[in-house]
Amino acid sequence: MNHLPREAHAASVIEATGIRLGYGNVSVLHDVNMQLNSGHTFVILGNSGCGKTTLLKVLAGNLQPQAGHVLLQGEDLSQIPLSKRGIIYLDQEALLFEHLNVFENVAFALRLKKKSEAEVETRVQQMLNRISLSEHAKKMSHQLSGGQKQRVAFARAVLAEPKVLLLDEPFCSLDDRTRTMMQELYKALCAEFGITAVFVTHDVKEALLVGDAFGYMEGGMLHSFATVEEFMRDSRTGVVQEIDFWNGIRKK
Amino acid sequence: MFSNIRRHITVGVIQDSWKLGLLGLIALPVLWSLLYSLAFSLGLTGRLAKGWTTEHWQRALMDGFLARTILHSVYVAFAVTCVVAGISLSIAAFGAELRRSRLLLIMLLVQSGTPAVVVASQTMNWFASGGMLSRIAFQCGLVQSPNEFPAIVNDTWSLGTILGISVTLLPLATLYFMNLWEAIGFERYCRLAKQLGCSSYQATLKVVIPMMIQRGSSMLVLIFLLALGSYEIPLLLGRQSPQMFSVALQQRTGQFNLLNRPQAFALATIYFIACSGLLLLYLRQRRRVNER
Amino acid sequence: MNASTSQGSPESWQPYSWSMRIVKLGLFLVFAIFLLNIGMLVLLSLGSGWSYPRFVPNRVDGAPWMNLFQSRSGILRSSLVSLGISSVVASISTILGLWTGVGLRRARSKVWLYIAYLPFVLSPVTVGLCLLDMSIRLGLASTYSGVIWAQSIFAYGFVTIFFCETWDVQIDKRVHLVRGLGGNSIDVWRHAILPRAWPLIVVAWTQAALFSWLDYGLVSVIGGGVIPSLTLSMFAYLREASVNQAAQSAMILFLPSLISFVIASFLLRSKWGKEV
Repeated sequence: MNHLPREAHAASVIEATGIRLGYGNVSVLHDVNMQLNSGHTFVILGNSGCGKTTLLKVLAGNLQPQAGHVLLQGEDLSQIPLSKRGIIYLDQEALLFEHLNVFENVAFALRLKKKSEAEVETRVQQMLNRISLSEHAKKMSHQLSGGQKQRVAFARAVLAEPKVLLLDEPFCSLDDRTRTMMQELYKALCAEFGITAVFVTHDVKEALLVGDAFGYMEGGMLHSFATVEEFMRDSRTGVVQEIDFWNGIRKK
Repeated sequence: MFSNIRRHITVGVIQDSWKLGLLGLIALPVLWSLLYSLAFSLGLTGRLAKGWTTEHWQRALMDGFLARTILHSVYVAFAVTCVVAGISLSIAAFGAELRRSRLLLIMLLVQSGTPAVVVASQTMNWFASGGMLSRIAFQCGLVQSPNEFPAIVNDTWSLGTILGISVTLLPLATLYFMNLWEAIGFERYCRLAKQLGCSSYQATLKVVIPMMIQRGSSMLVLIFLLALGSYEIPLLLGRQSPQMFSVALQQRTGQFNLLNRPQAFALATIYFIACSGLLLLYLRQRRRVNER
Repeated sequence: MNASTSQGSPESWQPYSWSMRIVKLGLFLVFAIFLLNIGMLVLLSLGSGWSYPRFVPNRVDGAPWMNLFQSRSGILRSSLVSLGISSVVASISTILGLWTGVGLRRARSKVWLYIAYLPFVLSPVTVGLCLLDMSIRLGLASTYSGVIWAQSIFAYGFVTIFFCETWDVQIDKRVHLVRGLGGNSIDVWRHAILPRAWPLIVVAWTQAALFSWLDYGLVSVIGGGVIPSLTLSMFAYLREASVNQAAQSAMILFLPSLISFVIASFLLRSKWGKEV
C-alpha cells in the first residue's frame, strides 16, 4: 500500500512521443505526445470517434503505432512482456472472472504473487470494506449489479499495484447516482493508493471531478493543458457552455 | 356472439396446433416407451407375462446384468466426455492459430458429417488386430502375427469404443467451444489476466478454461448423454460383455430365451429415467448460462 | 475495432515461438492422418481383398464399383431404398417441424421445449425396441411406413429444435408487418416467412434426410431386417469382414453428408453473411 503524497512522485511513468496510427487512408492518431506523472490522473476529454480509446490501447501496448514510441519508466513498452508491464486496462465492462466469487476476484493478483493466506485475507477484507462490498464477498459475479461489478473490478486492479491504470469511460454505463458514487470512490482510492492513471471520458463534469491533469482530444490530436483553469477556459472542452447552461436554467 | 366464440376457439386451436405435433409424434411415443418398458419389466405385459412381479428386477439386479451394464455405460460415457472435453477445450483455449484455421474448420465439419457406422468401420480398419496399425507393426517386426497386436477393438477397456465415440462427438464440442470463445470474447479476459500478472499459460489455465467449463457445462452434459445412447459404435467395436445400454437392450430382446426380455426392459426403464433427468439438467444449465 | 486482431498488435509482431510451431505441426499431422483415412477408404473400395500384412488391397481393380450396377449387388438397391425413405422422412418432418418450431419459439415454454428435446438425447434403437410392440399392433412392423414413422419421430424433433433455435427475428418483424398491412395467414407464409426462411428450410430438410439416410438402429428394429437400407447392407458387410464392400458402402453413405454440409455452409453463409 502506497501512502506517500502525490508530490513525492513527480517522475514520469509513461511518455508517448510522436504517436501515429492509421488504417488505410484514415489517420486515427496524429503526432500524439503525452507525459504521465506518477500519482496523477490524466484525463482525456473528447467526443466519440476522436481516437481516445485507440490512444489508450497504444499506451497499454495492445496496438503498435506506425510511428513514435511509448516509454514505460524509460523502457520501450513494446519490449516488455504483457504480464510484466504493470499496466491494467479497464473499460465499462467489468470483466469479472465468472468462476470466482467476489473475494477471489479481488484477491486474484495477490494469489499470483503467492502472498500468504493471512495477508490475502487482511488486504482483501480491507479493500472490500473500502468499497462497501464486504457482505457480498461470497457472491458470484452474475449476482452483482453493474455498479458493484465495477467496484470489484476496480478493487482487483488496485490490489494488483499497477504502475498505470488505463480507464476507458469505465462509468458510462452506470446510472447518474451510481456514477457519482463511483467517481468519489475512485478519487478516494487514488489518493489513498497513489494511483497513476489515464482516464478517458466524454463527460466534462466527470473530467473535472477525477482529473489532476487534463487533455482534449479531437481528430486524432491531443492537446494538453498546463492548468485546470486553462482547461476550463478552452471553448472546445464545453465547460463554459455547461456553466452558461446551468446559469440560464437558474435564471428561468 | 356464438360465431365470435367459435372464431376465437378456431384461432386458438390453429395457434396451438403445433402442440399436437409434439404431443402426437414425440410425447406419446416416448411416454409409451417408458410405460411399456416399465410394464414389461414388472410382468404386466408381454407374451409370457404373469401379472405384477418384481422378480425380473430382482434377477436383473442379482445376476449383475443391470449393474454391469449401467457401470460400463457410465464408464464409457464419462471417458468419452473427458477425452472430448480435454481436446476441444485445449483447441479452443490454447490454439489461437487453430481457431482461425480454415483447415481445422473443414476437417471438423467433414468429420461431424461422418456417420457413426463409418467411424466404426474406419476404427476397425486402423486398430483391429488385422488393421493398418497391426500391419505396420508387423512390417516393422514388432509383432509376428495379428494376434500379438494389442487389442484396441473389442477389448476389455473398450478403448476402441471410446475412441470411436470421441471422434464422432469431438467436432460438435470443438465447434461449440471455439464459437464460445468468440461469442464471450475470452481474449479480453486473457489479456486482463496477463495485465494482472499471469503468464499466458496461467491465464489460460486459471481463468479461461474454468470459465469455459462453467459456460459450456450444458454441452458437457449433452456429450455425456449422446455418448450414453451410442449404438452403432459399441455394437461393432465393443466387448461382448458387459455392453452399453442400447446394445445390451437390443441383444437381450433379440435372444432366443424370451425370459431375458423383461430384464432388458428393466434396463430400458432405467435408461429413460436417467436420460430424462440429465436432459432436465442440460436445459437448466443452458438457461442459467443464457440468463447471465 | 478489435485491438487484439489489429495488424498493429505487438503479439502478432513476435517471431514464431516454439509452441506455435508445434501447434502448426500438430495440425498438419492431424490433416495428414485425416487424408490418409479417406485415402484408405477410397483404396479399399477400389480393391478386392486385403490380405494380412499387405498395406493395399490384393487387387486394385475397381471391382466393387463395377459390380455396383449388377443385379447381384445389393448396394444399388439399398441406396435407392434409403434415398426414398429419407426423402419422405425429411419432407414430413420439415413441414411439421417448421410449424412446431415457430410455435415453440413464440410460446417459450420450458415444458414443450423439454418434450422437443427428448428425441435429441434418447437412443433411437432403445425407443425403437420399446415401440416395436406398438408397431406390430398397428401393422407397421417390417414395413416402409413403420420405418418412416419411427424415423420421423426423431427427425421431427431435430427439425423442431433447429427452427426454434435458429429462427431469424427479421422474419417475425416481417410477419407483424404483413399482418399489420392486412395480410392473412397465407400472405404471411408467402411474403414474410418463406422468402427469408427458405435457406433454413433447405438445411433442415437435408439434415433430416441425412438422419434417415444414416440410421441403422430404427431400420433394423422396426424394419425387422426386411427393409434393405444401405446401413443394413454395410453392417452385413462389416460382419462378414467384406472390407471392400464395407468401404464402398461407407463412401456411398458418406457422400450425402459431404454434399449436405456444402449446401448448409453455403446457404447459412449467404443468409448471415458470416464465415461458416
